[in-house]
Amino acid sequence: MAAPMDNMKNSDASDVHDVCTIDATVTTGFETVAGEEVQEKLGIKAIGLRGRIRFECPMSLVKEVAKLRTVDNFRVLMFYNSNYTFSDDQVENMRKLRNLVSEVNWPLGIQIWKRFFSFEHNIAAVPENITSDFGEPCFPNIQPPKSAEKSKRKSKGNKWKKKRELKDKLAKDTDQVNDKNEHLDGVQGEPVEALCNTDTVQLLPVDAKDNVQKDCTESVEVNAAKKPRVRENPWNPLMPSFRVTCHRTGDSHNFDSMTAAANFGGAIYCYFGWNVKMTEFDMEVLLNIDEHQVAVSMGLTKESLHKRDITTFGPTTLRPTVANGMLRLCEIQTGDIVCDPMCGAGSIPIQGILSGQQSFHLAGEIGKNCLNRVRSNLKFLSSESTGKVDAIRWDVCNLPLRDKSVDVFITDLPFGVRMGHKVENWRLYPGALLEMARVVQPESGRCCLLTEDQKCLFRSLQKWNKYWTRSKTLVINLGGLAAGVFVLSRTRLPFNMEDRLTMLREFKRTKGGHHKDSRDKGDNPETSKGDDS
Amino acid sequence: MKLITHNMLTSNIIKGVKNGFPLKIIASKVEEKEVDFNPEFTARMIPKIDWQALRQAAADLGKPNSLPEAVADQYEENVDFLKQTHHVLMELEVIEGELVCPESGRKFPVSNGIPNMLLKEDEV
Repeated sequence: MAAPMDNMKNSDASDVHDVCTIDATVTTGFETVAGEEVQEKLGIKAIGLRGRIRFECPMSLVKEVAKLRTVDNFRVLMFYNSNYTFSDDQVENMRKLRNLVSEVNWPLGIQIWKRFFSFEHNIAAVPENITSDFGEPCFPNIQPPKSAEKSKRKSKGNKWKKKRELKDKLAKDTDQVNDKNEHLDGVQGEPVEALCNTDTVQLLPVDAKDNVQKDCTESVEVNAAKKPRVRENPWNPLMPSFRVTCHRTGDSHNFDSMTAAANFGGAIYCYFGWNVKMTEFDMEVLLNIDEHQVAVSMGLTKESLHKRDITTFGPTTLRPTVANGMLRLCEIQTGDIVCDPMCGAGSIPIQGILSGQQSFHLAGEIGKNCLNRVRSNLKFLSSESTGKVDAIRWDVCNLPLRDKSVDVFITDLPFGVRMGHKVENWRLYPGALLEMARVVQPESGRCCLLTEDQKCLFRSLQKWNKYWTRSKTLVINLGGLAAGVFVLSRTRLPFNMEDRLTMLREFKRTKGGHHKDSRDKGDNPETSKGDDS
Repeated sequence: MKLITHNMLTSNIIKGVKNGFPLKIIASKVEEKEVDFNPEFTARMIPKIDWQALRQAAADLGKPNSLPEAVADQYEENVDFLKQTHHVLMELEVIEGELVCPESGRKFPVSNGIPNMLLKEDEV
């Protein structure tokens, strides 16, 4: 492993790197928040792109990037061209993409990769014999999807047939036998494999054998167990395995990401001779094509960092990276009492205690199962960190807490999509906002809410605007849902108990069918109100 | 449940209960867990907590003399005092037991260290 070359400022020597460009993916909407974290922890200014941040990282700090708490995945940039032109000719585009491999700064990527992962043999940063032949462009997925579709259709037809059979028990035995035979055909998927193989062989001349391999791994994976495929290129145990993942955005391209990834991967194979492997690979090369921008980078995370720290996931567990973003927005101080009244599996309190701030966390939930998840998640933390958190079972609209006892409320409200019900939100949101207004410190109290049901939240805020003012709103992309993160501050106004009584009376009056529904589902904790004890 | 949490809990959400604080602790299992001592954190907690309620809670757990009668003057610099407070506040944990409302006598069970503060519909 090369030592960090901090003191060698030699800008024109291309093989001496003291700085590299890191691209880190973050939840869309949290780019600024993540940028602030980079500035604070690494002292580097980051540029916010859509769903990503990019920053120049000194070699000595690369390892620290993994400790950032708001980033999901990160990679080191090995090639970037902001004005790459694609031609109208598909084949020409692919040929150009293949030739791009020689322009990529592989030594840098491999050097940094080695800091995070290991491979039993030495990985040459530059191949022994540099080839200028990057193979012929190929278009692997012109035929296979069609055939795959066919077989799918076939098996679907079979399903229907089977159903009919079940209904009509008078069907003849011979018919059934026929059906079964057909069904077996569909499952084995022999036609798929046959088609795919002949196809690629036809398409590819001898010098691009690798694509046969690649193509096979991609589309025949399912069938691999049934019929061992013959590798045309033997596995080289001295070489690492790799895959290429392509992300393409923009309307101006005449190829798809699969084709681009296959061609780029094929060219890397020609260049380095690394083994192609789609799963459990050693290296992941990321090819990003965004309109006229082309970037090639080396992946430095094998699993998204958002999965860290949580062992027991519930149906709607909040990503710890999002939880961290919300915690950062609240600017928690030493000695603050932070409360998540609807904590689910406990992402927010857990991230709160792990982020190193000296604060005390209350994790409240209404559902029994959720509290079990909180407990099992807390069990995996070291005992010193669990000293700063307590779990309580309660109903957010009836918080058993003294007035003005909490400094910050942070919570992920049930969206009413997978958890809860949109109608139920109209009771829950205003109820929770009012109760939080009572429990939080006037003037200094803060609140950070995440929800997809923004309309309901806006109305609820309007209702209680004498207690809460909105200081910041972020729109984030949460698994395809446009969710809003709202940062609220408590006004100076003392809490009026009359409001609470009015609210409770209103609740009793409107209690009806929806309430019962959520109760029947049993494990639908965030929305059902305090009744099942 | 740590005593810091107990110090914030109240039962005045029950219909008709005016002052549900402090809740009486009837503990059947108490554990002592070591928690890192941070003087700044503890010092900032002191103005937020109800001192007499904390003393009462410590007495409920069978440690009546673990805290002085009143908050020490200039407690920010008094490390011994802060350490004592830290121990009672953060390191004593009620694992099994009950919390009792001082006014109505309603019992809230504590199991596995988690108090159940849910109310029945007619109690709200």
